[in-house]
Amino acid sequence: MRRVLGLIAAEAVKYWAEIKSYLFNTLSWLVALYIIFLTFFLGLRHFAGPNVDGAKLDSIIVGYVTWMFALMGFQGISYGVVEETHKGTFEQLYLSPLGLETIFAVRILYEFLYSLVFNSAILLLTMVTTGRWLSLGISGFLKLLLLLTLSLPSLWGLGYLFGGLAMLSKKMGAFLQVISFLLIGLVALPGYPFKPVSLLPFTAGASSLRALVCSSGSQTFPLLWYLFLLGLSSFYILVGLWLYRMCERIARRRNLLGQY
Amino acid sequence: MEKGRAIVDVRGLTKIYRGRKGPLSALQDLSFQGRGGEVLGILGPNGSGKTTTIKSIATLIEFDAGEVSVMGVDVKKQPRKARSYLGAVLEGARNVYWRLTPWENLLYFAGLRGLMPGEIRERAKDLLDSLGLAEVSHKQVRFFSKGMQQKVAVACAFITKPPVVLLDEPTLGLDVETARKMRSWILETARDEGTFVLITSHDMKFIESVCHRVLVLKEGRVLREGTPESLRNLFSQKVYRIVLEEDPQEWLLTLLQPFPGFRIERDERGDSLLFSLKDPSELYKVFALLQSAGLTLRSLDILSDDFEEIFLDILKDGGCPEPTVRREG
Repeated sequence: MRRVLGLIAAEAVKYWAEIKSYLFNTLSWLVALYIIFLTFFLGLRHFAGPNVDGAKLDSIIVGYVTWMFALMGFQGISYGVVEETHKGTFEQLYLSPLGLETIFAVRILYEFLYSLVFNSAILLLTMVTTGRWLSLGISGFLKLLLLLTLSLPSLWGLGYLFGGLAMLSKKMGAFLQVISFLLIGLVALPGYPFKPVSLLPFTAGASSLRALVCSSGSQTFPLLWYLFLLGLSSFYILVGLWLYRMCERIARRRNLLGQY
Repeated sequence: MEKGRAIVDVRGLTKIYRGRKGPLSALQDLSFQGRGGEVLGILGPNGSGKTTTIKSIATLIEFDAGEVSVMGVDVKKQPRKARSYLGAVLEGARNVYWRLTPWENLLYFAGLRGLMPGEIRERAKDLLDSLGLAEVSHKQVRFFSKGMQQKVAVACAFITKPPVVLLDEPTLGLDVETARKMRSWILETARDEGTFVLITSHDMKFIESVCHRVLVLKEGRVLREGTPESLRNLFSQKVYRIVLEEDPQEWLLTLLQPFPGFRIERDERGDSLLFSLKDPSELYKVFALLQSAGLTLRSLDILSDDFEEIFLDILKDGGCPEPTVRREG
């Protein structure tokens, strides 16, 4: 555990250093996010008139944010492998006694927190600027956080799988972009209440989030549903990790680690 | 660290790559040990198995047969535990993050091994000082020369005082002066901290001057093993330069032709006769011939051996230095 704390501290050092180093990119992204949210708020009012259904606005914004989280969850690990290989640091990461999957798990948690803080901050700023407020409420927001936290890890499992495949074929980078767009499908499919498609990664969670937002935060879910989301995420993480380790073993056998 | 104790044990290491063109044997039954405080060099031409050896010890490659242990830990059975004893600079990779400063890189790589920043601050300062990076410790690595970047990578490999450090081509891109300083630094650190350092390099002078022991690999096998001195003695052939008062006649040159390494160098001073002799007593025969031709000796010089030549000889002769075998025909 003490070692993991060392890793968490190290990733914080690196994360902060890279934010500073890519300050222009960071600021550009924040401005772009602000403009996107402004467009949602003001554009919708402009086209649909001032009496636009508040739930619809909430639904669009939360749908967009959910997709962004889904992208981040998936890409954090899969693109992480490709990027580290490009940078020529992948093998050094592999030399960590903590294991690559632990390093990426810590990174993905930072990404999650970072996105959560900045998305919330920019959303809040947009609401202050436009005077329009999401009708989710505090309890609705907390439920949203819980659903996101329980269901998003299923995409991390997918990220591990594609990260493993990226070790074997560095051409995976282009393919990952296609997969990223296919995530829209996972987010958009109706997964609540339970249907067979609910078993797909993140579909049940994304669908629950939409249901929550459309009810302005009043939608309640049975405990079993939360457990189902947790179980599904655990399943995808375990399968993803298992396949990732299989790919890692093949990569080691063929001397493909870090090769680009 | 306990000096002199075997901390890396490689036995029968074998690796075969299976590609579309059929199996390629990268390492064949390679065995050696590494002791605390020792610097071991691996020399060999491209494709001889140097990098595969390093990567097998570092758990980056799964080998087919043999056993490798680091600090008594089997790298196949407990790869993560084995990695906790290792630091490495790998060939052809950046090894460090260019967007981070040397200081941040050191903190980061220590963290990857589970150490908190507070635990390694003093060590990081010492490394930056001793490698001449203190003044640029807060400048991003991407602005550095290749040599400086390599120094940062070396510092990161040593940050946690690992008992084993693997350096694959650490002198790539280093200027002469930096390579010289790096050499002294590696030797001192290995000695003071009892670290076993395994180095591969194409830089023969570097290997000769930094390594206590050298393995010469060819096609995945050890051709020769020994101290640089023992290899030098085993393979060395002193080069003798004889300058005469007048140029020798053609018939004499024909008689001198069978002597090992005989060649003529012509410059403004006249002809110099050069011989690469393992047995200096052969010079008597040369002098006898020169005397019989009535030629007067102006000077005799003994040229120093070149480790690169010795290495090439080892490769050429497959590790069989006996003069009778080498000089026939």
